Amino acid sequence: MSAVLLALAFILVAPMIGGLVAGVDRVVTARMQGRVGPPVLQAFFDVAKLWHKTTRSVNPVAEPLLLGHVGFMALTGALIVGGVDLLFTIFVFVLAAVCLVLAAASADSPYSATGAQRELVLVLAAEPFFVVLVAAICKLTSATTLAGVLASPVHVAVALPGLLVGFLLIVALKLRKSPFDISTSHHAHQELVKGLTSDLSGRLLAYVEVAHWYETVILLGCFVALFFNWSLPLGLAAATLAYGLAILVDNSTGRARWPLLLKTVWTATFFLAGGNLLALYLG
Amino acid sequence: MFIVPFGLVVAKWSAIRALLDVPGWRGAVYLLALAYGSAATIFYWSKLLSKLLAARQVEGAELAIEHRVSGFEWFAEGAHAVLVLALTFGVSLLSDRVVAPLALDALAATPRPLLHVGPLVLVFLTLAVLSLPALAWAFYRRSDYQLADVYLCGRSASETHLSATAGGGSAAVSLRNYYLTGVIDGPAVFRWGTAVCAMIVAVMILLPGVSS
Repeated sequence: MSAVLLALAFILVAPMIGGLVAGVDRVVTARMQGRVGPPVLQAFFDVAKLWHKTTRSVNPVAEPLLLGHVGFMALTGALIVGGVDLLFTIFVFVLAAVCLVLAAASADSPYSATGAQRELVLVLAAEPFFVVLVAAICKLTSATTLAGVLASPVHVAVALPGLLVGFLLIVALKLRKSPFDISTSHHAHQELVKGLTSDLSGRLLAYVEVAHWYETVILLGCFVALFFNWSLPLGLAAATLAYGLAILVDNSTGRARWPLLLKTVWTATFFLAGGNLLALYLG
Repeated sequence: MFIVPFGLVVAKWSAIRALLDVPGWRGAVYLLALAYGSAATIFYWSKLLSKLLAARQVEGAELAIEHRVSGFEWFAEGAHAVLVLALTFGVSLLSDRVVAPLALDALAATPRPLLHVGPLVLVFLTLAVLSLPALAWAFYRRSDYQLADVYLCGRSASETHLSATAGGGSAAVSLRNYYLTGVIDGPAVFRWGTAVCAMIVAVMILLPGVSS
């Protein structure tokens, strides 16, 4: 299949997978809390409802930025599967995150602005880790594209255990789970109302949700394909386990606060990524 | 290629690619420094853009804030503004006379191209970024576009950031920047950063052989 077709297939299929993952996530979370939970397809119903609701924006800048957020997020995945340099795609991924921050910050409201600043802190925690991760994988496998990593005989997860653990920590952040006062989360009640999405409504909120589906698929896909490049079924099993663990952590640390999370993630990822990278260069 | 954000991105990305070939502990340390350093630049630019996008007409007590900004900050911001303007007008000249000769001299022995992404991808991404302001204008022009006031827990008193207060009056909502107090020791970073950078610059000027 040509690179363009693969990229188009990602753009079309990824939201469906992402929406299903979001639905399963909500059901599992509900069961952990002793509730029945919504139907698995609830995430799709929510987005359809948001799309048909009247949209009121606080300024004309927010919608283009949110379109940029969802567009660049979809493009990140499309570029990865389309065979573009993995290091380059990291920057497109970060650009998508920055678009969301700017859309929220442009509202100039207490909740959105504080949520935007906290989201920026998440970007600050995640972006360097992703750069180090992809650089390490490129160095280890001598490949710069997804196809190259998949064709490499090197077992990435075995060679980069520190980065694997660090990735799980970062993913827990990016999946928008706890803590209580993070930039925004799936939970109905948090410190900042709905954080950086407090001033978004209707289709604006739908853009954010669809972008999150893309983001989930990119993160899970990278986990499976980049770390478990020698066995995709094993990677899928590991991803399922890791996602379940993230939900468990989310339900067990509901009252943790963002400074603790940031310090933990920063310290852990710095030493895990740095240590693993140093070992790779010296090995 | 020089258009933000991809001009910066391509430069940073090329540097990271080059560091993959640096052997020993130096490669790992430089890569870590570049990765974490680049995150700080994204943080800075995003915060600056956030402030610009959130800019609105200020009045009353908010106007007084400017008088409290220190001379040091005015100098830094002023110098920044002047340099940005100078760069904007002189970008082609600088590119032609300074950057290109320097790059050609430094990378003359490079056996492969630094750019591994098709130019079409870069052009598409740059156009996508540039189209965002045009989209904003198009949305604003739509007759059915509804503008709303920001969410203030149901206590909005007007469309100009006034919030109803408990005593029956109203107060202007103003936002402060968000600092990482308790996470990063700003004054210490400033002190140490200035000292270390000054030392490095001094060494590079006084001992040119070290930098090469």
